[in-house]
Amino acid sequence: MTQAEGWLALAALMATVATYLLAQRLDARVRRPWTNPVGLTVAAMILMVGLGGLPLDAYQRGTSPLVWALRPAVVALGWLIYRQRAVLRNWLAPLLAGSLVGSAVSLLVTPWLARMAGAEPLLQSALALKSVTSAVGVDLAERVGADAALTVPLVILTGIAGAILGPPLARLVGFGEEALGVAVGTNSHGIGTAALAAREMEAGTALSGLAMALSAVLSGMLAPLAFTLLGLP
Amino acid sequence: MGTLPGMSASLFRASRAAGDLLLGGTVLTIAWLLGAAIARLTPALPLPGSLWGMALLFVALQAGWIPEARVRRAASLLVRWLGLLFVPVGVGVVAHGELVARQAPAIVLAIVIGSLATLLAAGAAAAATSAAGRSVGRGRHPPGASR
Repeated sequence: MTQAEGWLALAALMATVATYLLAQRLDARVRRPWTNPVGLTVAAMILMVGLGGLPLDAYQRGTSPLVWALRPAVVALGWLIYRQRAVLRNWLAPLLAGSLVGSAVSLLVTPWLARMAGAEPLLQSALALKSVTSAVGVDLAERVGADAALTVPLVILTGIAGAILGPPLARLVGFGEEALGVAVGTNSHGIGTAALAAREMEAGTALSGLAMALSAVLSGMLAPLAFTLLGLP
Repeated sequence: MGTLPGMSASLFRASRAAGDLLLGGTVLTIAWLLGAAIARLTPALPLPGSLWGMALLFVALQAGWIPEARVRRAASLLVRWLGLLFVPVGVGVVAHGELVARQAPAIVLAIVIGSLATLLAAGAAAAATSAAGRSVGRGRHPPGASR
């Protein structure tokens, strides 16, 4: 790595953190669906990489400490779940029911919608795994014959979509914080969970983290059946 | 020199906070490493190391093997900034920009409508099966004292 590349990587990291801080401040002030900090920051960074001419590998080299910290951060959700164990006791059955029904709907409805919109089978099967947290999604894609490289960006987009759509939808249909947590964790895995954590919904975040783990396991079991039903891949 | 005791006290507090973070972060990383080992040993199960680590940490706290205060500072910090940590992964979409752009209508439709359907189905199933369908802790809670 040359010195210039090193500075570029450092600039990428600082730009990411600074943009996220700004987006968070904006979100705290206006609190609109579109002010989701992850979505805003990702969009801004894509513009920087796409239009600003920053090479993607320089960006990823610079921000690798954040990716590294993601692992202990997901582990840390176990601490949040422990703190919310009283809520969990009442919500264990709903958590199971929500993750199971949500995973089944996601596996069947998403590829069917894509088919109706004229997507090729390769894209349909990758979209079927949209709600499976990316590390599991890659593994699962390989086992059911979907394209793993194609699955990851769709999983990320689904994370952002659910983080944006979840809270207003919950208000609209009258879900409490707990049901919202189950819904967002099932559909939008870690990114959805992060959105609830940023809104300081501790019970919702704990249930979302659990729903993420549970729906990953359930999707792993249900995916082969769903693919057979849909005639995929 | 009247401020010296005050300064050394705040220095002491700051170094203790840093030590807390370091120690808590080490515990979380060890939980992840153990989780990664479990993931490696159970190839039939689809869970990655971080989710095994999450389960391990919960079990360790519940069983009292690790005092909650030991990980509180590091864990609350990481959970609070979880969103930031996902940004680089999200920017990785750029690598597939061409395909996403080419199939944009189908992708947007499937993800937006599919997400609404999934959110509604999961939330409704959860709300319907929760005790009498009512929310126990509705609203925003003040977070942990260290946040």
